[in-house]
Amino acid sequence: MDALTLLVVVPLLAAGLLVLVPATSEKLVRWTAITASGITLGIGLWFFRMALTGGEAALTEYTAAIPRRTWVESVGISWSVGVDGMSVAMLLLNSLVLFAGCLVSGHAIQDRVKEYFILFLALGAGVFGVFIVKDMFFLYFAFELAVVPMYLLIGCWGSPKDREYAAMKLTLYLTAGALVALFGLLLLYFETWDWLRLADPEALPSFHLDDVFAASDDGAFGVGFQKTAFALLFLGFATIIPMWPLHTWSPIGHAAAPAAGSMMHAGVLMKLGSFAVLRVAFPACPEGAAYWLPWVAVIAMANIIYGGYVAMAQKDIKFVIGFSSSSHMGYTLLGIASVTVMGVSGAVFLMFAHGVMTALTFGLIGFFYDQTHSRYIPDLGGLAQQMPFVGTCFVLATMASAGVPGFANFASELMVMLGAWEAGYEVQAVIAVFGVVITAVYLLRALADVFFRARKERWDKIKDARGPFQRAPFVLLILVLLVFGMYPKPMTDVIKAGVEPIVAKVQAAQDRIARETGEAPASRRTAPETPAAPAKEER
Amino acid sequence: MNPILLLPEFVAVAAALGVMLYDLWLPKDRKAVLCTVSMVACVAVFAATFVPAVADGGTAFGGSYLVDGMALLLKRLFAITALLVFVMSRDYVEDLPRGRGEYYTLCLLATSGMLICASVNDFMSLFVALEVVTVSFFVLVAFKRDSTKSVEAGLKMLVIGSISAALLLYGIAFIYGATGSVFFADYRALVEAPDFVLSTELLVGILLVFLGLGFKTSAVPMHVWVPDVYEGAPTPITAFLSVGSKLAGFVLMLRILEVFGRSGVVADELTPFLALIAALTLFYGNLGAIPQTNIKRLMGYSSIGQCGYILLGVAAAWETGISATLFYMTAYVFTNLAVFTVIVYVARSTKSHEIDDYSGLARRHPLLGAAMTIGLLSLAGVPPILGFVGKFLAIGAAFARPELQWLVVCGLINVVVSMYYYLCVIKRMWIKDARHPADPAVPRRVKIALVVSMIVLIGGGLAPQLVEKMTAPAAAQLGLSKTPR
Repeated sequence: MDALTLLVVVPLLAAGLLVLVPATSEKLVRWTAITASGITLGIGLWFFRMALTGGEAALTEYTAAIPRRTWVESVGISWSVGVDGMSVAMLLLNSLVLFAGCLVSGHAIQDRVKEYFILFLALGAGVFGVFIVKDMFFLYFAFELAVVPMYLLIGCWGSPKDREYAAMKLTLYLTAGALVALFGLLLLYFETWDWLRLADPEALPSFHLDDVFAASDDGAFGVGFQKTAFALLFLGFATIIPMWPLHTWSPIGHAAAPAAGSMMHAGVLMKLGSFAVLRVAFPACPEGAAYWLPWVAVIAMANIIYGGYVAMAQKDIKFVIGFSSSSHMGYTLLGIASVTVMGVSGAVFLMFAHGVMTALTFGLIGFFYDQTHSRYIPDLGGLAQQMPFVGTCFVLATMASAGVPGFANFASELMVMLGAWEAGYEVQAVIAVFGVVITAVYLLRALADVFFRARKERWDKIKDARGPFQRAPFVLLILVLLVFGMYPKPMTDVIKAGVEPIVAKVQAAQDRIARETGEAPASRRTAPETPAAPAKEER
Repeated sequence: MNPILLLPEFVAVAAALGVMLYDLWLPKDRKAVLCTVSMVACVAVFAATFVPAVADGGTAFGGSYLVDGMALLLKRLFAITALLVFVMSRDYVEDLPRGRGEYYTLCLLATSGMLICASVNDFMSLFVALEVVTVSFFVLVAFKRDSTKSVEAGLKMLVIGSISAALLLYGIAFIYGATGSVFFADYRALVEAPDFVLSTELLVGILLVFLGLGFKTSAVPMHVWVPDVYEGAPTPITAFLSVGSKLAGFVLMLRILEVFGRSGVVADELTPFLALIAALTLFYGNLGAIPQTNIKRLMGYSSIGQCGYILLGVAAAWETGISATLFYMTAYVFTNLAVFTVIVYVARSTKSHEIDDYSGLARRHPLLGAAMTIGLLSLAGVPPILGFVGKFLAIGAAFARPELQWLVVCGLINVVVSMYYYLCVIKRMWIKDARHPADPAVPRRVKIALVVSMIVLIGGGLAPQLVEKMTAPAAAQLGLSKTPR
């Protein structure tokens, strides 16, 4: 079995084992989960090392060596996995957050421990699945596998006040989004089948992305078709990103979830959407992407500014971070919409950095919320006096989020803005910079109100994070942010190598549109040299 | 003439008669033996479908009786259905004041009717087989004579069932008038002839037959009896009705489709009609389920909604569509029976079918909670459970026909709707605090059945090819169009 499949199998197997473990032996349950997530972290690091030492070529070679395992032959479903630079970054992110989440839950979850970890591991397996599969059936499969455990995680272990509403809203939004995307995936599937049957009338259909991309490269997808398919795919996946105005499920979902649930939700679940856009929609429908992305660049501004202002108005610390997340996803959207290597790799890097940062933030909030049972900012205050370690970590997390140099978030946001500028979105780039100011305002204010100001005696009984077991997850995540902030080159190199071919495809489509409409070529400075095959005429 | 082909039916009928006789000798407190006998009979029926003479297929009684891949698959499903129904019936029947022996006899008779339904090859056997099932159910639904609801349910089913039987007969008469034959073999030859012209009488006849069969499958507009009857009937009978009787209706629909659909002309005329029914059924079932507070009524509406998804594959009317339909039906057997088994045993301890009484079930009784959760998620179509793959394949098969893409949109919308009400039940089981501290007592036999069902559901969801290997050849054998045109 290849190491990629193991990423899905190990958590699922551990979840299966946990079913057999008696619910009373909580220690065994915790250690099984921590071990399983530790193994996935090892595999994630192994892939990152492979990408560092061998570059994209090593990843391509590794992917090529993995056979397609036929699953359901008559409809063309196969278990087929692969990695590129982009997914290596995401695998590392997910394994980090999963591991940290298991550590955090180790002491935070005391009720129904067994059920909790079974669901948590299933969620992790689903997310890994999305990042590695190359088959559209399993893409949808893995995505839904990640969504439903989230429902129960929020519903059972979330904060009692709003968990039922939040869990239901999240599940319905994500399912609806996935179904819209599924419509797009099925469009691609049948168009690809038509293309396959041109060569061989007896050909069976295929859900494999390589076949879809081959059909797309061959010009089998007309321009009109690509516009429709891209719109559906993007709309579906954008619900998960979450793009304004489809974002309302997200902040309340963050707020109601238990600590590790928010970590997974904000850390990785939200990244599935942008990842799927880059993985599927870009290479399959480059013409569609070229047509729609300028609109996305505009909507991204709504995410950044609107999300930021709403975050400013919140009184609940988890809602502040929740809206901050959807505001940050605006940068990701802008980076994606820029269609430059700089901008898109910045977006992917931001997905990584934001994932780690937000997992850290929610881990810390969860840590003190479990003791204060209040997230209402005016209630809190002066917590740094009772919990200096958590306070210090929170300051660092806030700095990272606000885009202070030295953290990975700064590097990635800078790349996004440069990319946007390069693509000719000067106005958006300026607005995006302004967004950083808004971020700083609400984050610093929240930080001051929660951790500083006068000491409150009612919180004197609160305990700081003690011992290596409690501190490890926070230290781990801060280290990652700092390492990649101080020296982002290894990560950006890996990501760039992965996004280059994807970006080149869409850029070629942009150039073609510019030529056909006779307008001035895009202000992009690095025009691709190889013109791609012309798209088939509209059918 | 090849009567050995009817071995499974012989076994079922012999068991039914045997149980009826044995009942006379058994003292009142030992009627549970009959349940064991019936379960053994189901296993025997299942085994009989693997006897080479049966498994090889063929026709009997001058072509009135046909055994092919689809028939065999459905017969096995019916045997499994009956077995699981008996597993959940035993304790339930012990609580009945009278008629325990008759209960098993009637269930076995209904089973034999379903087995014949899978194999009918002319309209006369179709009608007789269908009535064997329906009449047995009339009695079984009204089995709790002291309960007004049960009797009312029986009466309601009788009235609507008679109307649907009349429609069916009317349709058969039309078809006979148009073709001069009741044999499916004649129809196949007729529609495949190059000079075949579809007459209005024939089309009206086929539509009426579909309408009549809609009663069994609970398709709109013949669905009105479903919620009340599901609520009033004894719970194991509701389970049997929702799976066995429904699948019997579907296998007949597929058979008619196979017979007439091999002509593209008829298929093209039928598709919009079936698509309309599917869309209405989807919306009616799923929207109707939202406000329900009684789990049996909820499952009634849910079963209407599920019927809509199966019809999606039927309306697509090409090979993969039929394969998807058979896949869906296989998944549905294990899913729905697992859910109803839980309902039977929860009601034994809480004496209630209110959904609110499921509060805290996951904590109170982890096995029942897990089985119910997995069952409901399978109905909702969540991976990695068998029901998800069925739904995915059915939606995919309908999507292949551009004229059905609006129907796919209806299907997708209803996935979200159904997600909501299934999650509402799951929410109570997992999130709410228990109302009833009492632990429902579950015998080992039922535990095994639930664990096996869960393994089938999750194993099949992870490795759907295992199920697809059974359904795809069965669908291919029907000889419908290989591509969606």
